[in-house]
Amino acid sequence: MQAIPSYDSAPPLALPVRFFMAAWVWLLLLAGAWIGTADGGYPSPALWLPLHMLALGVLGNVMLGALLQLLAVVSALAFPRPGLWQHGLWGCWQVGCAALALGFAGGLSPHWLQLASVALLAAMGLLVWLWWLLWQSPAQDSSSRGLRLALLCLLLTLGLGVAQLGVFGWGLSWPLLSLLPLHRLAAQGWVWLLLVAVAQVILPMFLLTPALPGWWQRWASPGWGGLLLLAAALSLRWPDGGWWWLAALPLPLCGWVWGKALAHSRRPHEWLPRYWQLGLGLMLALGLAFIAGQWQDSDWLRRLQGWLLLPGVVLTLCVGMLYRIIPFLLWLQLRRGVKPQQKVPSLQVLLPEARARQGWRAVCLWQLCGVAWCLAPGLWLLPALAGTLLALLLGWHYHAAWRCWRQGTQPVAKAVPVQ
Amino acid sequence: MSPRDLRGLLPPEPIEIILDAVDEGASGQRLSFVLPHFPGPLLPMLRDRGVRFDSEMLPDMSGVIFHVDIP
Repeated sequence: MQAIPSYDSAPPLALPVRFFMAAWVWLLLLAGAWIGTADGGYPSPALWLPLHMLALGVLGNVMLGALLQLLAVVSALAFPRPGLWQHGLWGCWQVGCAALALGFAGGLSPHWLQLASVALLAAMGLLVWLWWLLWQSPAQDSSSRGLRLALLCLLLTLGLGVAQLGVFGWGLSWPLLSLLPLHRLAAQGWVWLLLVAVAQVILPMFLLTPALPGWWQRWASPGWGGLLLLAAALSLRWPDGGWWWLAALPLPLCGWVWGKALAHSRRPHEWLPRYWQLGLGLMLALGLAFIAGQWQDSDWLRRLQGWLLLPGVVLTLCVGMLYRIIPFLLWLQLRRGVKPQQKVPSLQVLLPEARARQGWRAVCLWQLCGVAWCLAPGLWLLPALAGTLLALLLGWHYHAAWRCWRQGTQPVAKAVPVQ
Repeated sequence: MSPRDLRGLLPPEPIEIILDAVDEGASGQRLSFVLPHFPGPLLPMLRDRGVRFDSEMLPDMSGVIFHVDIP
């Protein structure tokens, strides 16, 4: 008999929110990391610094927070010891990010890289356990299956990254030139497979689109994962073959499926579809940049590919989803603990729509500044300033939502009868 | 009575509607709703009220019918 998922074990509010807040701090710190990118050379520790602060610090934290929340809601995963994830995984992740950033900032300083490898290895151990829990979950829906593959890609990314730290930090003689492309491919797997799995839930739930087509739900994650595996195998056999296009092959199809669903959204004029439309535009541009990369090998094109993937598509979708998820989680927490005579503020009060639209404009500015930096790395101040502006704006909006939530958690004063 | 279709409403509207219906419903009454997916976040709130529930998939798999029994 097949076990039935139990959906009663939602993690405490503090678990995902802690990751989201750390992401905000990393976004603010990221501004200072652009200074060394003026020469635009890649690969170089100067460029690895903002890249990893963004990938691990900003996006990694958002994606881990969302993953933990989603695993409970979608895959019915229980978190019997939330403190382990709240402090253990979160703490190891932040120490790993900070040590890695300091290692890159210090020109591959071995001590910091050693610390980063230990902290990230500890985080990896917890994530292996999470993957095992997910593997044992009776949930067999397509989203849960996709999350399993995405988490596996994250583990591969971390493992390959830590192996490279073994070379730089511990002086091991492992084949760096084989590890680096595999690390990049695995990271793409983590990003795309997570987005594919999350979109299957998020699009119908929060953008009120029809369910994504059955064939897409069934085959998107294993198909994309298979292409990444093929690209990895070919990269190992023929390292100069430029097999990146295989990883980008599903982009147009993914854009078409998501775009078609968005076109049938029951609330097309809401603010959230704008984030997705911008994300789809950037995804299309990324596909074109990958095609162009087959004909032209230039530094600006490589920077553009990197920008369009992480600060482009992924950051845009992450910021949009945070504007929806954070007030929803706050509301849910208030609604559960509601007392008689207490009124729960609506989502609109917790985070007004006008603020989400301001965030969208800040993200657009960030994208323009980023593309300018890709074309002329001497303009590094532009993404630094635009990132700071975005972080300050998000900080202001989150703080206002938190204050509203705090007011909602205060006990209601008893009315004193008039004598 | 045919189930009330709550698809097309943004979260948390369906949760609010179901909780209001439970709070205002008569003891022993059975209410049914059509939702786009299984309402995981709603369950602890129903349990707090001592409400029993069950669900079934729509034949075309486009959502679930969610039943609640008011104690």
